[in-house]
Amino acid sequence: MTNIYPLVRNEVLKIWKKKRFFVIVLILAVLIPIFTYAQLRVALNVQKQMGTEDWRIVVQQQIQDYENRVSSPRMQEEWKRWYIVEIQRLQLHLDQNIDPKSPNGVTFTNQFVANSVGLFLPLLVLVIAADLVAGEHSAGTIKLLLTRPIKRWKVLLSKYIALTIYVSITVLLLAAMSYLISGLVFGFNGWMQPVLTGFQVIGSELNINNINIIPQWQFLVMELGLAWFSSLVVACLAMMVSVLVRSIAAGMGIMLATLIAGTILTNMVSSWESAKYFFMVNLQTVSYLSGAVPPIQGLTLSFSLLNLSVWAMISIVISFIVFTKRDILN
Amino acid sequence: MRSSRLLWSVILIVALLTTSIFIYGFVNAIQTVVYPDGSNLTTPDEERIEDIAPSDDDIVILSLGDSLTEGTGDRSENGYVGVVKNLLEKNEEKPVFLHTFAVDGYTTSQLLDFISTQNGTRTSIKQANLILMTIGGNDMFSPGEEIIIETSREYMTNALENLDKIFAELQSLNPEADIIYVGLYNPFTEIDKDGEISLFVQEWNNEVFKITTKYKQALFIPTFDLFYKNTKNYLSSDVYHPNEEGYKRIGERIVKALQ
Repeated sequence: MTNIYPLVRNEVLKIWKKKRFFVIVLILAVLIPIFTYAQLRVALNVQKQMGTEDWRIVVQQQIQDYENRVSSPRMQEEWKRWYIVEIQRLQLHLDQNIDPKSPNGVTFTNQFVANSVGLFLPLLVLVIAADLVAGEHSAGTIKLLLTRPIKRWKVLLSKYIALTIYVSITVLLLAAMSYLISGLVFGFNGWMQPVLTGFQVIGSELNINNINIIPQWQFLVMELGLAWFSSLVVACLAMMVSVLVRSIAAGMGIMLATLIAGTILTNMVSSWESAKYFFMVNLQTVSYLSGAVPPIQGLTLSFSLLNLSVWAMISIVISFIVFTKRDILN
Repeated sequence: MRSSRLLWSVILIVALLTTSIFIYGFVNAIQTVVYPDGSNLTTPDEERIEDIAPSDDDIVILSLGDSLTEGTGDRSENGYVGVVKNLLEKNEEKPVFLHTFAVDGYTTSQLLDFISTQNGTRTSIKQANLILMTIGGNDMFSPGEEIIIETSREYMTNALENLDKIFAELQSLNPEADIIYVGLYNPFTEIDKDGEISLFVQEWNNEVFKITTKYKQALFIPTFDLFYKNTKNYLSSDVYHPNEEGYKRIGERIVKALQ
């Protein structure tokens, strides 16, 4: 413990000096205004069609649309299930007089985090994680690092801790920037607004026995906690790839391909049940909070978290074994 | 060196703070989803709908009822409701908005329940300037099944009672809007050799007309004649719902009646 602290400090400052973090800030600063504008257009469009700002009417209209889609004989079974659950969820909001999409900065942040957790957030994490070890190889600094009288596992551990620090800051940054930028358009209020949570989807039934009304800030904190965990798992896997593959580009490519395969899979695996063991389809942990239908029937929060933990554990073990045993030649 | 010391302290403090918040949120989320502890939902004791009245600056059309109003069979538009909207937009110098709340297969009892309990519907009814409605067909006939007039007639009394309640409810929520009931037509003229079904459909239309006379906002629009000759030309491929041409005729008639 005595000499791990300066190592971590060293790693954190190294990442900062490499300006990777500014890339993330830049990406967010460009993309969030785009998403905010898109959201604004959606809201304006609805108002233009319906001629009302009353959310009850808009939600009711949505329910009726879904009802008609469900009754259509051409509707696919798995979509039907999604619509039926969604109808029940919206209906509950109507009955409880809680606006599911009240336009403000906090709601936008909530939805943005929920939509980011599957692909966008992992990509941002990759920007930092991909070259943590591979970068040392390509720059040749790995030899300098390992010739110091420090055990190799401590070097790797310090990199893991530094990575965790940056994952936390990245998730915070995503939420903060999304709140600040969207708040300019939608307003900065909404922290105390009530939201519903605790949905359980069983088949096409929504179990409402455990539903709670909580203030939106609490929902946001829970959501960020889950998103943070998912990001951390992605970071661990990216670290393993970075240890195994010495080229940054190759490592980045592998992780990108895996993550994108995950989003494609979640859209089509509903009938292939053993696909649930892939970590990629489990990343959307946030959706369990708001009562969305999981991509594969039978996925639950506990399963997803356990699955992700196992993947992360295995990747950490492999990284440590390879990193401490490998000969550094070139 | 001093700047990097400062940078390190800032990063460390921010990271420690956010990480602890995230861990708290993570644990909290697991508790809420995996180990839920009952619900704190209450039944809202009163209806929380603001007092709103239809505005004169625009026209809000609300469509209620079954598949005929939903526009089943029409591939391009929202059925006759869409026709009415387009014509009103042309005739009136005001923006026209559409709330389409009709659902395939709705019966009178479902519609009555729908307008009595749903907050969104009730809000919309209060805002509407024009309410368009078809209902009752599904009470008496089930698509694809053989039509037995005696059985259908048994369902009629109940359906009419519900319809009366529907009009009463609509009027109590919105005493200003025009409420249009689109009458039934006989899609089975080809097989209806002795006119038995036609007579029955007209019997229903008559009874509904009697109800509409009780409400001064209500207006009964007949469609029976529109589909009596060359029926097939105006029906969609399911030989039950109107096609585009059929809906157009209904829509045009409604707009004429309103002028």
